[in-house]
Amino acid sequence: MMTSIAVSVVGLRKRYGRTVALDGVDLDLGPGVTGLLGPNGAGKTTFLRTVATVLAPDDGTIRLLGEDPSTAAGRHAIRTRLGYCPQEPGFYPGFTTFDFVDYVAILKEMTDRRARHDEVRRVLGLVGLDEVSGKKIRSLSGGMRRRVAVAQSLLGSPDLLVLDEPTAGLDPEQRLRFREILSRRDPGQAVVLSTHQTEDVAALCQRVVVLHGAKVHFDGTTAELAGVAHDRVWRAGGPDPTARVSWIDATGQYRHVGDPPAGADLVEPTIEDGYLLLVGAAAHAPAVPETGPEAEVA
Amino acid sequence: MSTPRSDPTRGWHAPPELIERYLTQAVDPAGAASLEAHLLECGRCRQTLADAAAMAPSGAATAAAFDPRTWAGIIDVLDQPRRGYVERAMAALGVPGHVARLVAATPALRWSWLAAIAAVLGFVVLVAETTSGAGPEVTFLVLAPLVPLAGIAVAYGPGADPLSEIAAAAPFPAFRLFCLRAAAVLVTSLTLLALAAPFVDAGILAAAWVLPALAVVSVAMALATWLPAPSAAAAAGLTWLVTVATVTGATLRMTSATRLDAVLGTFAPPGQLVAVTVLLVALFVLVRRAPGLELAPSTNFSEVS
Repeated sequence: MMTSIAVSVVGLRKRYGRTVALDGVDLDLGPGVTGLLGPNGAGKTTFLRTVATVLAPDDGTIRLLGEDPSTAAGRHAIRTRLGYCPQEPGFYPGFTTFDFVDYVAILKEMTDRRARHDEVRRVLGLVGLDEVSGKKIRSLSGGMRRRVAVAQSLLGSPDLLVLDEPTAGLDPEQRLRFREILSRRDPGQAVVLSTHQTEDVAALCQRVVVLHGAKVHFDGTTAELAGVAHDRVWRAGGPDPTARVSWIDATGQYRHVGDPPAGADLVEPTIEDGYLLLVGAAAHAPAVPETGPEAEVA
Repeated sequence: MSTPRSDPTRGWHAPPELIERYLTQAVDPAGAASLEAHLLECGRCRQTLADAAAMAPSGAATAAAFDPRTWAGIIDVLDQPRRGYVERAMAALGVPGHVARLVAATPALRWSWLAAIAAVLGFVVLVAETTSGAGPEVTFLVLAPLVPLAGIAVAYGPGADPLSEIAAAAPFPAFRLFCLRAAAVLVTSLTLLALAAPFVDAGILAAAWVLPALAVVSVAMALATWLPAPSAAAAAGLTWLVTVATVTGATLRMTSATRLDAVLGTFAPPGQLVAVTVLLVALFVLVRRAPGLELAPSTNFSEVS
C-alpha cells in the first residue's frame, strides 16, 4: 500500500566532527514536487542522502514510504521504490550511456534482460538521450552526463524520487526538458530535489523548503515564499543603505529588498526576494558560514 | 582473394517485388536472411517494408513476417551492451548475464590492472629463472597473498568504486556485490599466480602460497564488515607481512641463506594448518556479520542488534 506521506522525519540530526549539518529537522513530505533551497552548506545534500538511505542520521526518526530505514528489511523495501540522483554520480570510464543505465537497472534487481533493456530505453528516451545510448559516457558533455544521471534515477518509475541538484550544468533548453519529464510523472509520486535556481522552484515545485544553517527556515508553497517579501521590495533610482540586498535590475533601476522607507515604490515580490530575506547575506556569500561555531557542511 | 574495397550492395535497395515476396513468405530462407541483414543497416528499406506491411491485406503470414515484437527483438540485440572478456568468460561458465555485468565492472578486472599484476609476476619469474638462490621463491611466497588483496582493495566502495553512491541507494545487497567482486578478483589472481608458480619453484612450494593467500583474503573480507575495503585490505596485508617477519624472526642481519630457510619454514605443514584455521575463523565472522550489512563507511546504516 502506498502511504500518502512519502518522507517523514522528526528531530533529524547529523554532525561531521564539530560541524553540524542537520540540527533538528522535522519534515513531512507527500506526493508532488518539493524543492529544497538553501545556500551551499545549508545541509541540503546531507538531508537528501539521508532520505536516499545512504546516510544514517545521528539522531531522529525517519519513515520513508512507510518503512523504517534503520532496519535492513526496511531499507531494502524502500530502495526497491526509490530513485536517487546524487550530486556527483560516478561513472565507469569504459561504459556507454546504455551500459551505465543498464548497470544501475541490474543493481535495482531487474534481472529479466529484455524487460530491463526496454526500461533502459524508456528512461533514456525520457531524458532525450536515446541517440547517444551507444556513446561512451566520457565523451558526453557535462549537461548530457547530468541527464544520464537523472535517467538512471527514473528506472522503474519509483514512488520516491530524490534528486540532488538535477539541473546543475543544464542549459535552458535542457532545463525545460527536465521540467517536462517531472511534469509527466505519476501524480502519486513524491519528488524531492535540491537546487540553487529559484526559477526551477517556481516552475516545478508545489512546495518549497528553505534550509539554512542546518535548520528548516521556511516550509510552504512558492506563493508563500514570495509572500515573505510582501511589502518589502521596492524600486528606487539610487542605492539605499537601509536595504538588506540591492541590485540594478533590467529596468536600470535599483531593486531593494529589506525594510522600505515610507512612500517607497513597492513592487511585486518574487520567490527569490523571499528567499533572500530568509537567508540574508548567506545567499550572496555562500562560502562564508554565518552561524559561527555551528558552521555547516553540504 | 582480398575483399573488395567498396561494398557492392551500397546504394542498393530492396525492389518492391522482393519486399512483397518477403511479406508473403515467398522468399527462400537464404534470401530472407540476406534481406534482413540489409534491413538492419537501411532505414529506407525498413520504411518501405513497414509501409508495404501496413498496406498488405491482413493475414497470418503477413503478420508473422512483420511482427513488431520481432523488430523489438532485433533492436534489443543491437542495443546489447558489448560484453568484455570477463563477461564472456563468465557466460561460458554459466554465470547469469546480470551477475557477470556486476562483476565485470570491477575496477580490479581491467586490462591495465591485470597487465600490472602479470608484469610483476613475470619479473619474479624472470629473476627466478636467471638466479641460483632461493630469493625469488621466498619473494613469491610472501608476495602471493598480496596480489588478490590489492585487487579487493579497489573492487568495492567509496574511493574505489565510482558508482558506490548510486549502488548504496539500490536494493541489490551491498555485501553480495562485494563478495561477487572479491570472488572474481580471487579467481583471476589465483589463476595468474598458479600460472607463474611452477616457473619459480618446481617442487611443493609451487602450491604452498595457496592457503596463506586464501586466509589473508578472508581476513580482509571479514575486516571489510567494519572498515572500508581499502583499509581492510591494507590491514590484512600488513598483518601478513608482520606475521611472516615475526614468526620467522627474519631480520636483515641474518645471512641470506638462513633468512630464506626461516621464511620457507613458515610455509611448512604447521604454518599451513594455522592458515586453514585463520581461514575458517574469518569465514565464520564473515557469514555471521554479513546479513543486512552495509559496507561503505558513508553508508553505515548499521544494524542495531
